[in-house]
Amino acid sequence: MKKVFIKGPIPPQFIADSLANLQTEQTIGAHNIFLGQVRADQVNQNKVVGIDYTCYEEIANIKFDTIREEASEKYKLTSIHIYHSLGVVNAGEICLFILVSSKRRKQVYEATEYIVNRVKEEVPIFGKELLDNEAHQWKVNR
Amino acid sequence: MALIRYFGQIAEATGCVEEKISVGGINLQQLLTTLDKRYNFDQYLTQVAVNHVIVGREKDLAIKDSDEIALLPAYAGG
Repeated sequence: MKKVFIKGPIPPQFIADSLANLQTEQTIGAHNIFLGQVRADQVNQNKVVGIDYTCYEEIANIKFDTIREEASEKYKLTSIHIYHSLGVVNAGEICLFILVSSKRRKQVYEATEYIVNRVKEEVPIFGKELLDNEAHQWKVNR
Repeated sequence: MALIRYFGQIAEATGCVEEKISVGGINLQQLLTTLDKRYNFDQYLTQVAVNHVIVGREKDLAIKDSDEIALLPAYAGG
């Protein structure tokens, strides 16, 4: 079971380091990256300043493993990295990092979309949107 | 005593993230009805997991004292 959850925002340096670590994998010809960033949505008179993420970790880890295995098989990928934040991530910071690598480019585009959609639909992660008036509301994926 | 775990908006409604409840002889629907009467979370409940497996909330499933039941609201990953 690979480690997926990171406490707080995903630092840009972590993304760079993940790419650097793949430079020894010289059968790879294409990487594709998806980065989810917390958006400062307007909610009536207020603005979202961050999201506090929690999850049901036991099921989430099982789901991430399944998604990784099925995407790898379906698209013949060389590697898949998935990282998601837990705890507070402020607006403008990164909360989801998916790095898909393969021999050729076509698979990585399709696989990235497939993985992002499945993460949003199937993994029990919950998000409390924190507003600038100290109130909150619960995020729902649409 | 079965372990009941609450997440997200449901944990906010119950005021706790987990509790142990004696469930002798009841099924999943009866358990959900009992808990909803106490906490009024039904509008937020989208998924139920028993022992780390997602099951339909209408499933006619006998609950044992060794079970872990999780009540999950809408997902919001990404």
